[in-house]
Parts: sequence; C-alpha cells; structure tokens
Amino acid sequence: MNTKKIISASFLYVDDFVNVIKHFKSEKRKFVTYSPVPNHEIEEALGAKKSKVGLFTLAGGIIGLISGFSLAGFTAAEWNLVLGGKPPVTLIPFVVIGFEFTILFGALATLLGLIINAKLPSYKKLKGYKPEFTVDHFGISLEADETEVASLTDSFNTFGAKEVTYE
Amino acid sequence: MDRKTFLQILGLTGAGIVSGCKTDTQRLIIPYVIPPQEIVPGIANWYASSCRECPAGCGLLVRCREGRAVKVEGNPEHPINQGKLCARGQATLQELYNPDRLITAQMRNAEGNFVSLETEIAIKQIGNHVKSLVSQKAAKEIAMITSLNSGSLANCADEFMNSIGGEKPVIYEAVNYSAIKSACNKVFGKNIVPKMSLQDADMILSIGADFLETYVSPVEFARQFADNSDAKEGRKSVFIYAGATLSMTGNVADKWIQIPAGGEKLFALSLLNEICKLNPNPIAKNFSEGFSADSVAGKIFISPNDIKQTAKLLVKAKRPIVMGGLMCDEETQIAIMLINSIIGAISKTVFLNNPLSYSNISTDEEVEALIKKCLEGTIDTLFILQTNPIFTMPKHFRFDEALKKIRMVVAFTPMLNETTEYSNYVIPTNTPLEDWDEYQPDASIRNYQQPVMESVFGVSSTGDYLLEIFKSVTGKTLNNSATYYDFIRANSKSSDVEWKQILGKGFSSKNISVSETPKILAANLLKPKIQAMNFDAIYFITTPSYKYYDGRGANKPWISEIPDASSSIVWENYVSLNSKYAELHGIKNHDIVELTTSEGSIEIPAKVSTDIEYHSVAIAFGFGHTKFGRYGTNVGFSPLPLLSKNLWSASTIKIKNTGKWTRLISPSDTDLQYQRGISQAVLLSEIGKDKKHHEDLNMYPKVQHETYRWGMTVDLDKCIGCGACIAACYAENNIPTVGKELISKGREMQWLRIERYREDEFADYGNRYIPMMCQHCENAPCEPVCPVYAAYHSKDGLNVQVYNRCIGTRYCSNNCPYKVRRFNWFSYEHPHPTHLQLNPDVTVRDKGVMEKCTFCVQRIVEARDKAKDEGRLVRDGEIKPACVQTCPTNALVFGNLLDEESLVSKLKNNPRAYRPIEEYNTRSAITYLQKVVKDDYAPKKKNKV
Amino acid sequence: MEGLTYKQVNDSVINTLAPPRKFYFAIVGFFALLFAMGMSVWFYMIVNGLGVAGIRHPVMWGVFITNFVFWVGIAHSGTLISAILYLFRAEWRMSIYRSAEAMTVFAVATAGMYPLIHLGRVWVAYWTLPIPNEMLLWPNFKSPLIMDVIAISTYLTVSASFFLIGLIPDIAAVREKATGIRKKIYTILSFGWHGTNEQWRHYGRAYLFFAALATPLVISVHSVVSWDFALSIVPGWHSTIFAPYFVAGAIHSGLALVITLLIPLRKIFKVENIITIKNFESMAKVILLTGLIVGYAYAIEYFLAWYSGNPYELAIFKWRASGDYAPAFWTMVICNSIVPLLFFFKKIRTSIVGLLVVSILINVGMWFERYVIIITSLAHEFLPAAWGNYSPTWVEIGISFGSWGFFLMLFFLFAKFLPSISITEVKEILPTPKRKGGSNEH
Repeated sequence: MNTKKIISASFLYVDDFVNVIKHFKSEKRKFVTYSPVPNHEIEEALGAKKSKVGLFTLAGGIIGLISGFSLAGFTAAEWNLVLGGKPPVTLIPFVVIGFEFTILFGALATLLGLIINAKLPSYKKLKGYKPEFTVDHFGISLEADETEVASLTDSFNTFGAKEVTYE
Repeated sequence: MDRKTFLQILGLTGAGIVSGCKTDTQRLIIPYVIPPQEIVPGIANWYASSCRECPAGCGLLVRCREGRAVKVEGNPEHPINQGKLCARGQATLQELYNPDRLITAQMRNAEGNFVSLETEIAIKQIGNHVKSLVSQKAAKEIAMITSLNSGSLANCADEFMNSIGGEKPVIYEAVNYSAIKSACNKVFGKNIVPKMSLQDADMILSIGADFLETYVSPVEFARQFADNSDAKEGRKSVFIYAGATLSMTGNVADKWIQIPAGGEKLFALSLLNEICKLNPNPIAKNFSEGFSADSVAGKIFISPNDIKQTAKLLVKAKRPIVMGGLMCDEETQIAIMLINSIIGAISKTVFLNNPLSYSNISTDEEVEALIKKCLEGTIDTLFILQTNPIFTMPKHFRFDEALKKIRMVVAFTPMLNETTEYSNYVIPTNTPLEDWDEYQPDASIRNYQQPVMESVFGVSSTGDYLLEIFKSVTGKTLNNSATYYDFIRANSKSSDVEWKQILGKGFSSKNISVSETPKILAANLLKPKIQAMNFDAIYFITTPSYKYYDGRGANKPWISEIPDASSSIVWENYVSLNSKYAELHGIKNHDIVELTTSEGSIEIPAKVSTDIEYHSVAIAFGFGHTKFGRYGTNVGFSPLPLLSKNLWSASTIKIKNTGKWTRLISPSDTDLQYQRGISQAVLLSEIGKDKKHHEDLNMYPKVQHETYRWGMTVDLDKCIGCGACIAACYAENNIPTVGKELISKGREMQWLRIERYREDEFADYGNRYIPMMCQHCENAPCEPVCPVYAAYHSKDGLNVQVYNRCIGTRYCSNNCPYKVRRFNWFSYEHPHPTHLQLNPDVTVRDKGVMEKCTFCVQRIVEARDKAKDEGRLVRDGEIKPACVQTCPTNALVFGNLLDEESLVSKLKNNPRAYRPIEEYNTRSAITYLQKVVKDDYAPKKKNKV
Repeated sequence: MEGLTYKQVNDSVINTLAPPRKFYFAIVGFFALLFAMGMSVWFYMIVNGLGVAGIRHPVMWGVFITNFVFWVGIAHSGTLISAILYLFRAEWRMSIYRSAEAMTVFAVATAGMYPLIHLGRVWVAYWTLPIPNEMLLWPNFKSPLIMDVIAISTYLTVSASFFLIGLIPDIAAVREKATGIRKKIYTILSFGWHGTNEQWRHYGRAYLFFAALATPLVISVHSVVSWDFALSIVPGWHSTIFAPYFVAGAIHSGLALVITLLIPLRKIFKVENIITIKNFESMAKVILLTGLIVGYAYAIEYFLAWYSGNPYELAIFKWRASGDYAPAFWTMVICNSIVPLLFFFKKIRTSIVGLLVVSILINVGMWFERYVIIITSLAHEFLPAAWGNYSPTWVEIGISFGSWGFFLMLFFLFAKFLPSISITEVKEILPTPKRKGGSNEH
C-alpha cells in the first residue's frame, strides 16, 4: 500500500519558479502555487483564464441603475406632489440617484464576486502552505505518492528550490 | 337659557380650562357631559365687545374657543372702526392674559411692604374706613381719580362719590385735548372736543396731529384717509403735514413742512392770517393781526410760500380739515378752530354737535386743584381707578408728594404699576374683556362690553368693587343694583329684547340732529402771546408712542416686538436727531446722549435721521416703565424728567454726547434698497409707463390649480406701516415673542414683517414700506430643495409647510428669495396663563422645525368646508387672513386668483402692479401695487441710492 | 527605495505595528477626549435647540456645513490616489495610497456627521433614507440634499470596501508575524488569504473594477456636494462651474492633508526609505495643478458675475472681496491659489519644511473657501432688509474641534493596527527577484 504526501517547495527567484511551473504543467500534474505578489510571468506560466468577477460588476451596475431610477420615480409618483412648479416625476434630478445606485450596487456586486470566486473567507489550514509565501518566497505544493517524494525533491532542487518539505 | 346663567356655565367651563385659577371647579368641568348649549368643542363663539386700549372706542368681536378668548377683531358693523383694528387693539389679549396680573389684593403693612390678603377682606376694610369717615362727617376727605370712562362706570363713580358725599371724581388722561376743548369753548362757546372726520376730505392739514397713530381716533382716521387716497388715481386729495418730526402719519403726507417743535403756533397764526387775506373774516383777521407769512416764516425757518400755498389749497378745497396735535396750545387751537370755520370745515369734517368722550376729561386746573387739596392734607382717602398718573404726570404736578400725604390710597388696577408703589391698597380688577361695561366714544354711540370669558385670575370688576364698598358703607345698594351688571342694565334703559340685540351687536347708536354752524364769539379772543424761536436753540418734544399710547401698552410683548415704523427699532425708544445737526455735533446712531432741560436730564441713545427738523429733537412717550410687569419694565426711557408742566409742549434743551454707546436693536441691518426695486413708487403721471415685462418662460408645463388659487395684493400706496397686521398675525398663528437679545441675533419669529426702506427717489426724507410675508410662489424655490417633502405646493396654490414632517435642514430658508421663513431655534415658552390665548386651530411649533405664513390656512379650510357643505364656491372676500382682516387701510386684499371677478384678480391687473424679484420667475401669489407720488409734490427724480 | 528586498519591506512595514510607547496612548487618549467633548457639545445643542449655535436668519447654514464640505473634500485625495492613479499605473502612489485611503474613509465618516449635527430634529434624520415603512414616508429625490445623502453613503461604502480589499494580502502577511490574540484577529481579517495564484487571479480583477467604479464616483460625489449649492437660486451659489471647481478644490485640500499627515508619519515610523521625497514631489505637482484650477475658478466666478449682468450676483461678489468677510476671502485666495505657486520651485516642493508649510496653509485656505462661499452668499441675498451677518459661537467651534479629534483618533489607531503602507504593492514595484540579473518588468 502507498500513502499520499503533500510536497511543497519554496523558491526565492521568479525565473526558477516559472521553470518549475512549466515543468510540472508539461507533466500534467495538479499543483498549487503561492506568491507574495501577483506576477505576470507566473500567471503566463500558469496560463490561467481571465477572472469572471467582471460579470458580477456588470450585473450589479445594471441592477443598480434600474433600481435607482425606479425608486426615485415610483416614490415620486406615489406621493404625487408638485414641488417648485415641477411635475411629480422629473427625470433630470433622478439621473444622479440612478448613477449613484449604479456605482453602489456595482461595487457591492464586485465584492460579492471576489468572495465567491476566490472562495473567501476560507480559514482551514492549507496543507503545503508556508508563512514565507506571503513574505518573499514563491511556493509550489503538490500531492504525490510516498514513493515519488525522493525523485520530486531532487527535481525541485535541480530547479533551485530553497527548501523542500513534505508531510 | 338667558345670558347670565349661560355666563355662569361659561364661567365654570372657562375656569375648567383656566387651570390653576379655580382648581376646585375643574373636577366639575373637564368632561363635557352635558355641554352648555352655546359651547361646542372645536367651534368658536364670537362675542361683541369694545376696545379700551385708547378712548377712541372701537368695536370688537372676540373669538372664543372652549370658553377662552383667543383672538380679537374689529366689529365690522361698528361705525368707528368698521372691522378694523390697530396693533394695540389686537394686543389687548395680552393685557387679559398678562402673567403678572394680580390675583389677590395687596395691602401695605407697617414696614411699607405689600402683603397679599383676600380681596373681599380688603374691600371690607376699605369700606369700614370710608364708613368711619362718612360717620365723622369727613366724607369730603374722600376723593377719586379715574381714567376716562364715559358711560356707566363714570356714572357709577359719580353716584358713588356723590351719595357718600365725597368729591366729584377727577378724570385724568395724559393724552387729553383740553386745548381743543377750551379753544372750542372760546371760539364757539361749546366746551367740547368735536368729532372729526376725514371721510371724503380733499385737503388735510395736520399741524403735528398724528391721526394715524394716537390722535383722537386713529383707526377711524386711517380707514377714512385710505378711502380718500383710494381714489388718488382719479380724484386727488391732498395731505400736508406741518410738524417737527416726520411721524408715521407725516410719512404718508404729500408734503412735509418742517417747522421746529414749538413753531406750531406761529405757523397756525400766519396761516390764519393768510387765509383771512383770501377769505376775509374780521375776528380772525384781528386775532392773527401782524402774523403775515412773510413776517413769520423766517422765525420758524420755513419759506413764506409754504404757508401761502397751504392757505390757498385750504380755501380752494371743498371738504378741507385742519387738525392741531397735542403740542398745540389753546391759542394755536383757537387759530386752527378759526381756520376750520373760515374754510367751511365745520359740519363737513368737524362736528360741533357731536362731542367726543375726550370732552369729559378734567382740565389740568381741576387735576391740580385735587392735588393741591392732597398736599394741604385735606384729603384722607383717594381712590385711583385704572390710571397711572405717576408714570405720566410731570413732576411739576407733585402728584407723588400728594400721594405720600394721603392716609389711604386705594388703587384699582389689574397689575402693579408706578402708581401702586404709592398706594396702601391695591385691588386687582378685571381687564375690559372680562368685564361688563359700557362706554360712549361720542354722543352718537354706546359701546357695550360683556365678559367674553371667566375672569382669568378670578377677580372682579371695578364697578362691582365700588358697589360692594358702597354697600358696606351705607348698607344700601347704589341705584338698587346688586351688581355692576344690574347698574349697566338699568343705565341702558332698554327692554329685554333690545338689550339682547344691543349685546349681540356690541353697541347702540343714535343719530344726532345737525345743528347749524354756531357763530364765532369775538369777545373771548385775546391777542395771542408768542415768543420767537431762537435759531441756535434746540427744541425738545415728546409724542405718545403709537405702540404704547401713554404707556399703558408697554406690557404687551407683541407690540414691543413690532419694529418701529420710522426706525425699525424694537423693544426700545431713543431720541431722534436731525442728521445734519448730529453730524455737526459728532453724534452717531447708538451714541448715548445726555439731554438737559430746565427741569432735569436723562441719558438716552440717539437715532440720527432726516425725518426730524433741524432744530428739534423728539422722544416717543410711553417707554421706560420702572414697574409694569415682566414685559413692561425697563423697556426704553421715559422723557418725564425733562418735562415741565405740559407733557406735550416743546421746551428748549441741551444735548451732550456722553461718549457712551449702546446698540439699538433692529431686525434689519440696512434701510437702503440698492436700486433693487423692492418697494416701488411711481409718479401719478407715470403710472403704467416703463413697466419691465418679464416673459413667462418655464422649463416644465405650468402648474394647474383646481377651482382656487389663493393670492393677495398689497397696495403700498395705502400701507402706512402701522404694524396692525403683524400683531394680528402674532395673535392668530401662535407666534412666540423672543425679545431684544434674540432679535439682535436675527431670531425674530414674525411670519409677516414690514420692510422699511428709505425714500431714495422722490424726497430726502421719509420711508417706504412693504409688508413681506410668504409669497406662496407657484415656482417656489423652497419646495424642491426639501429632502422630505415638508414643503410642497397644494392644489389651491398654497405653499404648504408640514411642521411634523420637517427635519430642520433649513435649506428652504436659504433658497427663499424673500427670506420669509422662520426657524424654531428653541422651544419658546408661553408662561401661564398666556398659553390660554393660543389658537387651538394652529399648531404650536417646537424647536427644530421651519415655519412661515400660511395665508391663515385654518381660515381657508374652515370657509372652504362651509362652502362645500352649502354646495357652493367660496365667495370673494369670505376668507380674510388675520392681517387682511385687521388692516386699517385695506391695503391687503385676499382672494381667489382663478376667479376673474374677484377683487384680488382685478387689482392684480392694476397698472401699478408689480412683483419683487420677478425676474427669478417665482410666479408669486402676492402682487404689490406701487406707491403713488403726486407730480406736484415730487421733486424731479434723483438717482436712487 | 532601490535595493530593498521583499523581506526588508515586509519587515519594516510590519515593524510599524510593534507595541506602541506610552506617548502614543497619550495622543490617542487626547484625541478621544476631544471627540468626547465635541459629542457632549452636540448633545447640549440637541437638548437646547440650534439657537445656541451662531446660525441665524438669514444665514441658516454656517460652520457645520462648512466643515461638512471641507471633510468631504479631504476624503477625495484618498480615492484619487488609490483608484485614479491606479488606473494610470502611477507608481508613486503605491507607498502612500494606503494611508490616503484610510484618510478618505475616516474623513467621509467625519463629514457624514455634520449633516446630522446641523439638523433641527436629528432624531428623525432617518426620514431622509429610502427605508420602506408603514407610514409610506419617502424622501424627495429631487432635493440636492437627498442626492447628497445617497452620494455620501455610497462613497463611504465603496471607499471602505475598497480599503478593506486592498488590506487583505497585507493582513495575511502581518498574520504570519503576529502572535497570540493579535494573530487570531488578523487571521479573521485576512479572510484566510494565502496568496495562491487562484486567489490572485480574481483579486487583481476585482481590484481593477473597484478602481474603475471608484473613479467616476469620486468625481460625482463632490459634484453632488457642489450641487447642494449650485442647484439653489442663491446669488453666489447658483453657478454652473461649481462641480469642476469643487472637485479640483477637493483634490487640492485632500492632497495637502495627505502631505501634512505623511510627513510626521514616515518620520515616526522611520520609513523614509519607502515613502520618499519623490512621492511628495509628485503630489506637490498635482497640488500645483489643482491650485491653478482653483485660482482660475475664482477668477471666472467674478467674470461670470459681471458678464451675467445680474445685480444680485454682482453685489455678492463685490461684497465678498470688500465687505465684512473680506479677510476670510483674501485668506482663501492667497492660501489656495497664490501660495501653491511656490511649488513651481523644485527647492520648495522637495523640502520637507516647504511642503509642510504650504500644505497646512492650503488646508486653512480651503476651509475658508467653503466658509466664504456659504456665509457671504446667504448673508447678503435679495432683500436688503433681510440681510444679516453670521459668526460662530463656542458650540460650533467645540463641535468642529471634536470632529478633528474623531478623525485623528481613528487615523492614529489605524497607523498602529493596520499596515499604513501597502506591503504588497510596494513589493510589486520592487525589481522581481531573479537569479539572472534581476530587472523590474512593470
């Protein structure tokens, strides 16, 4: 019988790290990468698709625009009072309301989008995560059979890993 | 149910609401289990009565709700005021509800301090005292001095004194016309003050007679005067004012002849002289010998032509009248009387067959005689009825010393004043609104007063006290009337039916036969004595304040808070100086100056203006009480120390700048209108010409109103700036008075203010007025800025302010171009019992909300509902907001703008019509009509300031 | 900040959160007291009525609204730096935007109090919110004040969430260094951020859209504030240039306050190597621009007043420069449009003292700008008989100081408990570490 291990390696240099990612992608392995800052080269290496957050923003914005105008319009119509010689429903002043609501709903939707997509908040400890990953180390962790550990560690070191751990 | 029983019930119910006065009866009252048939909660009762703020005797209608008087209005049927009322009349409620009124009698103890005791007991004690005097055959040592009462109270007092064998009561009034009386006596052998009328007068000459303020019958005169000027655009009536100060009255004159204070006599004589030249009359000629205009004019610093022209106008006129003010002495009044008879004013504008109540006032001689007796110690007991001589008598009379000499001084008065300081007993009395009484303004009219409500402080009436005293003295009843009511009832000599009608109406009138004009009696006319004016001297004069009359009005905050018509100053009086003189002597506004006459000196702030003749200084009388309740005490300064014998006649004076400084409080910082055309005037010949036309652009479709759009017109040619409208507004709309301090901070609460601007176009002196209240704009700038819809435009064109929706952002006020919105900076208190006056139909606003003129929406709603019930539209003139209702000159007109036939619509299309700040297209519902200036009396146009 | 490594930045920023000295508590305590004082004065005013303040007929708005506009203005620099400059990829923003943003959030909060304070009946203030209720009470959306309520609350919400999003990765970094209770708190605040590239992918996108939304928002909010005045008919308020004029003014004052606050901050935290003179200089340049815009606005206002031929407008502007409030007016002109011109000189815009003095003067000037606009226009409106001058009482002054206490208290707390410099973004602009000759590829 063989047991699964989580191996995680940390790198100091982005170029090493990118090579590692390329290597394992070519091996079609599933792995998680960590980095203290967002980095284009890494993203390219991972070849990830564009985030869907934008759609949330758009939806929120449209809903906001509609609800802003309709709130102003319908309440004014319900009260039906003449103010300063203006008819009860006058669109011009409502533009401001519509606009502000667009922004507000858009922003809130974006927040929602982030939370949903990035699966935040998630307080459970991630195996393979190391504190340095949020400081100055680029990290990669992947799951492997006990038997593989030795070979993987070697390959990490050849890519110039600072340290390799497994559990 | 007859009136008396009703009144008993009314009394109880009244007491129910008058919490604290009769706590024991409250229990009986509060639940309207079986309401007295005349009291329906929520429905007002109106009772006819009579105004006693001054002797003019206007008729009143008093509006009562749940047994308490909430508003007084002029009685439309009353021949004198025809529904109109002045500010003092409107404020009579504040005498009724004055929180400083006495509840129990006051007796001076050994230490000389007042102690309260049951009024009944006090009356008993007084009664016994009088009794002992009578029994000692010392009744002659009993004297009485009373305010002017013609009619029952006068009779009652007379008979009282008479039947106990005391002195005849002396009737004392500071504002008396004894000069006219004796002049009339000398000229016509009639010892009276004749009734005067401005009705259809086409030439009015006033020699210091402020007939729109305090003179004889101001409301009546104001109404008649306005009726004349009403026709100004057609027939031209002329009004010339000759006097030292440009009073509120002088301000509306076509021409002001600036004669120095004390120059009136010379002016009158020379005028008489000139008139005799045009219209010979031996006696008059003889009397005015040697006073030709050319010889006299120089002495009073005017041009002879002024006199000659005036003479011509008077002779030419069909219905002329000449009036001599208080400062005119007997000889001046004789001259005026002669003029009036020569120019044919008698029986047209001056009626010798109809003596005014003023005729009953005792002469100074009679008063002095009484005082002399007192000083000699021959008077033991003095009754003082409803008068305050210590405040009004110059020290020459030595009345204070006299009172000290008297063993027992009994003062009958609703509240403590300067005179009560010298009395041993003070008996608290009702105010006229709580009393039965009867008063005769002139020979043709009898006013009747009924108690419109239970005595607020549970006290009784002067008459009843007299009757009680009489009973305890003699054991009998006076004219076998148990109560003063019976006395009046008997006095009225009317059947029960008539009596009810009279009470309902409030007065009874009878026609008086027109006697043919009496001959002038030559014999009595001695040559007048005159001393020339000194060019270097400064002459001082005081005139009764149009707000406080002779000072009796000083305890009424509503009036105190109305900005003075000629200076906009509130809660204060001042000495007015000619600006040229002031400049010469380095005196500026607000400087405190020291005035010194032969009699004494006072320090008083100065107000510099061009509205006073160069050689004259003037102070309004009635201010400076030292004891007159919380509202009346220490308001302004009394000129009394400066005065010699006669209160009103001029005297030379020295002015010294003390270098001290005070701030005279006025709600407005400037009185220039910077060419903004807010209060407009126009030459008679130019009416309708060069009118700016504003095309009526609108971004949105015009507002459609159903059936009504309420609007108002204000005729600035009629507005005299008297402030009656403001007082009425205070009373109707529960507006708090805030006092001097807050007004200086711009916190006044008046919904309706009269803006005063200097005349800057047609003269170097005088004021223009413009009543400014919510304009109820169609495109109201205040409405859309309110975040919570507290301000909106109602279907009938009102600009509505919803108090309980307002959150107090105050944006509406910022955006109101007319600045007519008032904010409740605090929760203003209505001290007991003033809260009883609050109009139950109007919300009492609490701190933090905005408020403003509502066009008296409560009245609109009432009338509209009534009309609805009767299935008709509201009639034109059916609705009268408080200000419109009371305006003595009918300057304000209210009505439905959608109705082409309504008076207001007609006036709106008058060629004089304009709207301030019209270019901002607020489309306000209030239209102003330009003031008219007659070409002949207008100097050629100057550049506006 | 050349030659810094990720680790150095990380540590030096996180060190700013080291347990403070007594002195710090003293300061925070003092501001807290000031705030409490202000609140009690407000309470006093609520109980007695607005009459205890100096506002009067006709000047119904005074120092309260002045402060409101002032603080809203302050609030603008933050979003400008964090959002607009982000879209422009201006690198000099990275090290200062966090504190600018914090300033924004706190300033909006402070500003938000004033509309409440100035209400006559604050206890029914909620009537201005569109809250469905049984009374069917709705606010009037035509009112500029309601636009204001909506705009300000939107701005507060958006800028606050923008601020928090920006914080997440940093807090994660802080979390790793923290211990004990602090660790627990930061763990929660970090939303369990681990910096996986999956997270980064969405994070970057969200941040971008937030910036994209915040940018028009920041412009609109102060425009709306300016319409509080411009939509009225008050001479001196009713002007079409108000929106751009106010926005420029807002940025003007905002940046000035950022400078005023950051100069001592970087000194205390010894982060001069991260917040460098370069940052200040760039801000000074923007201030120079806004200063010129504001000066232009002042000039054009006079031109319009004259050109419109409206006597009321003209009178107001004459009176501003010559009347009772002339001192305030000239303070405003000199501080806002003359003094900033000093930034033309490199010497001054790169000297700490010069920057500090000028920025403080600008803040004074900008406060007076609002004071002049609000008071003078109301004091001399259409009817001369209804004119009246305004001066604040101790109530207004007390509450104003209270609000400064509130703002500074919050700012000091922030500086100690959250990274006042964005760790992540500073790292981003560092050269990415590479084995073969590291070069920055941004």
